[in-house]
This record gives sequence, C-alpha cells and structure tokens, in this order.
Amino acid sequence: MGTVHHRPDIAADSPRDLSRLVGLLLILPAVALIASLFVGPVITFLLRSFEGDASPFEQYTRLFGSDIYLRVLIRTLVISFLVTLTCLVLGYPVAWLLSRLRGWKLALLALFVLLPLWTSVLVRTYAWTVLLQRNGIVNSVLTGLGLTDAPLRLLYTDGAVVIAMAHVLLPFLILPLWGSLRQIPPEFRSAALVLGASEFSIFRRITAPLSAAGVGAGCLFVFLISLGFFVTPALVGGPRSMMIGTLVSQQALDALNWPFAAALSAVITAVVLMAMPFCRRLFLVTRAEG
Amino acid sequence: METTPARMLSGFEWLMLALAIAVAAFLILPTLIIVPMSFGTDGYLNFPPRGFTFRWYGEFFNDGDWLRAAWFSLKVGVLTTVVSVVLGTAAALALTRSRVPFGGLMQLVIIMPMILPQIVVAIALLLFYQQLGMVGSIAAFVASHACLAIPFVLFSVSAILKRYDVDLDAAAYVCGADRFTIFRRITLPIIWPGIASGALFSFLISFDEAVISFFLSGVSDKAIARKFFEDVELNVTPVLAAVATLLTLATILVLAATAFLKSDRK
Amino acid sequence: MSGAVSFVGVRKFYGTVEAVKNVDLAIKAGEFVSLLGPSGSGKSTLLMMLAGLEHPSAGDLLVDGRSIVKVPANKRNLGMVFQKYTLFPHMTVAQNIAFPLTVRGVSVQEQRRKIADALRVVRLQDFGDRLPGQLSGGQQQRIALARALVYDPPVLLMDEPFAALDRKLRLEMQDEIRRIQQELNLTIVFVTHDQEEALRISHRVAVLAEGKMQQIGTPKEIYEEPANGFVAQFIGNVNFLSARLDGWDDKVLVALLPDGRRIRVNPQALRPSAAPPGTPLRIAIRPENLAICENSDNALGSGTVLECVYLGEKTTCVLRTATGADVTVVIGAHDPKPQPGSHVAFDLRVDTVPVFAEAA
Repeated sequence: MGTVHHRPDIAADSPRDLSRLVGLLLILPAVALIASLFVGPVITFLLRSFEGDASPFEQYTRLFGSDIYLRVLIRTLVISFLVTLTCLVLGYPVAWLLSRLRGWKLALLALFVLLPLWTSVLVRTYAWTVLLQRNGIVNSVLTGLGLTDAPLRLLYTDGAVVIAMAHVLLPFLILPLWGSLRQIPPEFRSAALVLGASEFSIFRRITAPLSAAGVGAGCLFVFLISLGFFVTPALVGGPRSMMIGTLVSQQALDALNWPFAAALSAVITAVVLMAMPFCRRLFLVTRAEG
Repeated sequence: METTPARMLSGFEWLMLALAIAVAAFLILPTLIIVPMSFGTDGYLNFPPRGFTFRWYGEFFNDGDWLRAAWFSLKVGVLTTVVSVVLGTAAALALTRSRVPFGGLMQLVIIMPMILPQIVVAIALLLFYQQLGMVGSIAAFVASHACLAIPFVLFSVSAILKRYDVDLDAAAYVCGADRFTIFRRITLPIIWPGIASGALFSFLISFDEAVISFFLSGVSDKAIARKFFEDVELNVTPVLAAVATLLTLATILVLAATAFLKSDRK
Repeated sequence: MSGAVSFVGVRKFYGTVEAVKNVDLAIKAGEFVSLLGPSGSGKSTLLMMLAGLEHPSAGDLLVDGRSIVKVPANKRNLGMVFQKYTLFPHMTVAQNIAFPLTVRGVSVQEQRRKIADALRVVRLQDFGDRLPGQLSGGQQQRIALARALVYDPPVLLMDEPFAALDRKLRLEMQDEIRRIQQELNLTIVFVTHDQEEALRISHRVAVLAEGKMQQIGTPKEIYEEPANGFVAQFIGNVNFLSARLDGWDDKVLVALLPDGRRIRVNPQALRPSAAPPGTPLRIAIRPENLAICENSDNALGSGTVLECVYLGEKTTCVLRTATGADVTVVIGAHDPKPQPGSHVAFDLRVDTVPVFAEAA
C-alpha cells in the first residue's frame, strides 16, 4: 500500500500516444532529407551572393545600380501583380459558385478547377503556345469575326505571359477563396434575405467582407508563385518580356555568373519569406472564422 | 443551385453564374483542345484538325529519345513515390501522435519545399549536384522530387490521422493486441486511403515536375519534362500534342483514382 | 469464481494536479459497481488505470488478489467498452469480434463458435457480415460489448457506454447489460455521470468528486442516507435548511430550526464528540419527503408559493421562506395545487423520514 511507481506521465505503453523518442525517430528522416538535400543547397547557393572582389555586397550594388536589372525586377513585380489581379477577377465567380453548389454539379465544377491544377504546367503552357500562334485558334477567331485583317502577333508578348500564367495559377486562388466562402454560414444569407437585402447587397455587405481573408491568402499565394515562375514566361514570353526567373537561369547557365544569380535569387526568396508570417496569419483568420 | 428550384435567380446571381461558367471553360478548354489536334493528319497543328490518325502516337512510341525520357521519368516517379510515402507517412504519425520536440520547427522545414521559389531551388540544386558530379543522375532527381512530394503525403495522411479516433488503438490494446499488431491491423488499414492518394500525387508531382527536371537533366539522361520543354522551343510537331494528351490522360486517371479512394473511405 | 477487483490507496497526479486522491474500493466477484461523479471527478481515470491505459502514481490495483499495476493493458485480459463504440471501421462485425481471439491465437473453428455465442448474448445473431457503419448506435454498442466479452474476461469495464444513445435506447441497453451481467455472472465496473443510470443498474454505487471517494453503498443507501451534502445534491433533488444542533438522543441528532421546531435527524458523519450543542448545521431533506400542510402552527416552515410545475407523475412546488431560501416540495397528482402567491406551510411527510445533517 502506498508504493509509488515512478512512471512518466505520458504512459510509455499506452498506445494512444507515441513517445517523444519514437516521434523524433519517425520525423527525423524526412526533416534530414529536406534540410540536407533541399534547404541546405539553397542556403549555400544564396550565400554565394556575397562573393565579390570589392565588397560582399558587390552583387547587390550591381543589381540595384543597373537600369537593365531593375527593369526586369519591376517588370516581374508588375506582371505578377497583373496575373494576381486577373486571377482574382476570374477566380472569384468560380469560388462563389463552388460555395453555392451541391452534389454532382459541385463535383463537376471542382473537377474543372482540380484537373488544371494537377495537369503538368508544361502541357498547359504548351497549349497556350498552340492557341496563340500565328495560325492558332485565337487568331482564326479574331479574323473570322472580322476584328483584324491579318493575324496578330500574340505569342511572346507580355499579354500572352499574363494570360497563360493566370490560367496556370487560377486554381491557387480559387481553392483558398472557396475554403473561406464555404465557412460563411448559409444562415447569414437567409437572414439577410428575410431582412430584405438583394443578392448584390448580400454579396457586397456580407459575402465579400467575410471572404476577405480568403482573397488575401489566394492573392498572396498567386503573387508569390508568380515571382519565381520560370516555365511559362520562358516559353510564352519573348526576350523583351523577360522575368526574373529567366534572368536567374541566364546568369547561371549562360553567363556562369553564380554569385549574381544568387543575388537575384536572394531577392525573390527574401520577398517570399517576408510574406510567410502574413500567410500564416491569414490562414489562422480563415480558421477562426469557421 | 442548391436553393429551391422554383426560385428565380436574381440578376446578380445570373451574372456570377455566367462568369463562373465562362471561367470554368477558360480553365479546361486550352488543355482539352490539344486532344483532337493530336489526331489530325496535318504535319502541323491547326484547328479544327483534318482527318484522323494515330500516327503521332506511333511516332512517340517509336522515338528512342522520347521513350528513354519517359522511362527515366517513370523510374524517378516510382522511386520518389516510395521515398516520399515512407518518410511523409512517418512524419505525419510523429506530428499527430506524439509531442515531438521542436515540432513546429520540424514542420516548417518539411513545408519549405512548397514555399521556396522553384527557380531558386532548381538553380541551387543544379549547382549542388554539379559539384558532386551527379547532374542527370536518378539519385539527384529522386532526392529532389521526394522533397517536393513529402509535404503532400504529410497533408494527405495527417488529414485522416487528425480525425482518427485514438480510442480505437486503446480498444485494440485492451483486446490483447501488441503495438505492432495494432499498427498493422488497425491504424494502417484506416489511414490507407490517405497514404494511397499521397502516393498517387507524389508520382504525379515527380512525373510532371518541370523546373528542377529542366535544370538537373543531363545530355542523355533527361526527364520527359525536359524533352518536352526542348521540343516546344525547337520542334513543333503534333507528336507534342500526342504526348500532352497522354500526360493529361494520366492526370485524369490519378484524379479519378483519388476520388475513388475518397468515396471508399466512407 | 474469479473477478474480484481492489483499488488500494490509488493516487494519480497529472503534473502537480492530483486527479485521484487515495481511493480505496473493493469490488466482489460478480458484483456490478458504478463509479458515479461529475466530469473531472476522477471516475474515468480510475477505470483507465484498471484497464492499463493510465498508470497510478501510487497505490495498487488487484484482480483476484494479484497486483496488475505492472501488467501491460494487452496482458490484463480485461474486457472494455468505450463511450464511442470504437468498432474497427474497416472490419466486419464478425472480424471485430474475432480480433481479440486472433491476437490470442485461438483456432478458426473455436473462433467461429465463440463469435456465434457472443452475438447470441447481445441478440444480434444475423449481423456478422455487416460493417460497423451500417449499424445503429445501439447495435454498435452491443457489438462492442460482444467483442469485450468474447474472450471471457473476468471483469468488464464500461466507460459511459450509453451516454451517446437517446433516452429510450439507453433504458433498453441498461436492462440489457443487467440481464447479461446476471446471465454470465460478470464483475462489471461501470463509469457514468448519470445518477439515474447508476441507481438503476448497479449493486453498489461509488460516488466520486474532485478525485475523492465520497460514498460507497447500495443505491438505496446512497439515495436515502447520503454521506454528505455533495452526494445528497448530486443524486436526486434536495432542500437544505439551516439549523442549530440542539442535543443528542442516543445516536440520533436533534436539530433546532430557526422558528423553534425540533426535528430528529440522521447525523451521518457527525459524532457527539465533534459536534456539541449550538453547532450550526445544514440539514438535507428530499422534496418528496415534504408535504404542504393545512396547519401552520406545528409545521416545519412556511413560505410563499413561487410556482408549481406539472411533471406527469408528480407536481413540484417551489416556496420561498421568510429567510429567502427556496424549498421544493412534491405534491401528489391528486392533491390540490396551491395558487402562486399564496402563503402555505410545509412539514415532513412522515415522522421517521431519513434526513441528515452536516456541520455548516
């Protein structure tokens, strides 16, 4: 009677929880792989941006001191912004409809969003090169409608980059937005209807403000992916619509200027990492709404 | 709409509905339009396509370069799936079933591959594997693609584990089962749909991945994405349309399989 | 016969919080004992310790005289039914019931016979091929019971097994478990927060609060002779009246009410040595032991009728006394209903009503 058994509080042989040691052994392989063969190489590469003969900031001085590079940087920001805006305008009605549908109609529309998301970026970009080529469908339609006499040069323009990137990134806006629209209780709409609100004022006064967190998360998501996007600008964009991703690749592969490529990369990475806590807060807000 | 069928839609709702349908068409059509074009008889792509032929598919299956690239990507995809499923599932178990020290930090490391800009990662990995003389090696591809796929496996398995009733394990334990039996006969069968859909997506991520594949490919050992990339730039034949159609078909199959797993879960 | 269970000086700390405080409880083989208490009372922790899913910080647990503290849960050979059924969703009913037999290496033939027996005991013979998802809550809980019984454990542990069921089904399952208990002569340790359930099904009830054992006794003892105010209040309704100790008549206590009336009271834990005359008291009286009376001269007290509520088999009236205390009185279905606002007197229904007192 009264014997004290010194056992840890998280019972070692209760199967509900794994012990901390087992947990550590389970998670370490994944963490070690990603840290050593993914995050590690990225850090080593970014550190090379401080190489230089004159000063450790030589690469950065060169980057921010040159019109050419600044223009690429600004064009990247502008195109990313336009892509985000296009995605928002195109994506909102789809997310809104998704949140209102049930059953097979929902499944079908969700498929229309998920299929592009999981289709290879290359395939989708390739589709745009086919659509926008000189004798492509878009030009046939435009001439057929009598809007132009001769086929337009559509491919390798900024417009082509924005449209194609928006197409590729649309699911990344629709999905988080749908998530936050879905969390608005349908009773709000019923209550507003009973109180005499029109559908438009319900949207403006209730749905839009309550989905602000989803809009923020989706837009941020699209903007950040756009910044470091490579495939679509490289294939659809022309030499005059170069974005920072293509410049990084050029500096590394053609100019073999690794330190400068690293400096350019550091700029994109810094923007992305700075936005991360903000992303997290948006996610928390979205969750709190539910 | 889910509301009473008799109700008239307001003007605003009509507008949103019309816009949404137009955007849905915009989302799906560019990819689907490639499909009929891959069966056209002309040696260049035009719409509407003329005639019907399997010629371009035949050329794909007789082209050594394409087949080598496809085989390479297939090997990488399968190995990536194995590695990411094992490591991702283990991490999901650790994060949901134990209080791992520094759990938040570990989770952050695991989702880094989703966050870091792809071009930065690709160039960094190119530099890394160049120094090791491993550009174009299957090992380099599998390691890189597994890192990209692990977060997806983690999310897909944790989604089930978070809803998992731990009292099931307690019940099995009281029934007399040991921990290994509990894992094999209770936990594993219940989280299986999450593991399987994580596996399917891992394969798709690896097989479709373009940026790292572009930079890590060697001159002869290249991924199908790299071969595709090169041909879009250099060689516009309907064979590409055939390959694009096959890739889209693979995506549809994977999505159908995961949808089936989800419906089976109930 | 086997299946005797003892808790000996059992304590459980979570960090510095003492969730179970020195609990002793001896359960005889074949006895049906309920652990009753509000949430946080430690009743579930006690059951989990018996099952082996929690470990006592101090004390001992005995089954048939042997300590099981160091035996892991999967070697204790106890049966357990959880609140949420915990049927394995990917196995059929028969596979669920077979699970404990499989891990014990029982032959397939023997398994088939035992599964059929277990299904017959819970009266779901034809359900072997169904999946748990296709069963109702009550059916799932019967299958969980069958799974816990199929390996003939000496003791069955039940953790609020019927809490998720609706009232009618719950009553049905209570009858069912009583029948099975008698049929198999099982020892059952049953955790519940539902006092009505505990009184209805068990041989003895152990009332717990804040990790401490409050009282152990038959349902009649617990209800009619509650050991303290907590037990009196937790089990059934009770009125508390303040009084002063007037004196002792052998072992019976005489209490003096504020308006001069003296009543004889069952003192429970109070002893003459510890409670001299003049000690302030709290006296507990059940509403059904009070009655409205005509004559206010010699009544226990009086008050203004606040409201009367018709509850089918009885009607309860709430009176407010001069001191501002509310007293609930049960009146019979055929008694006249006093008008709200009227002033009435109340008295003990019978002279020998079991009431009790504790030091205030």
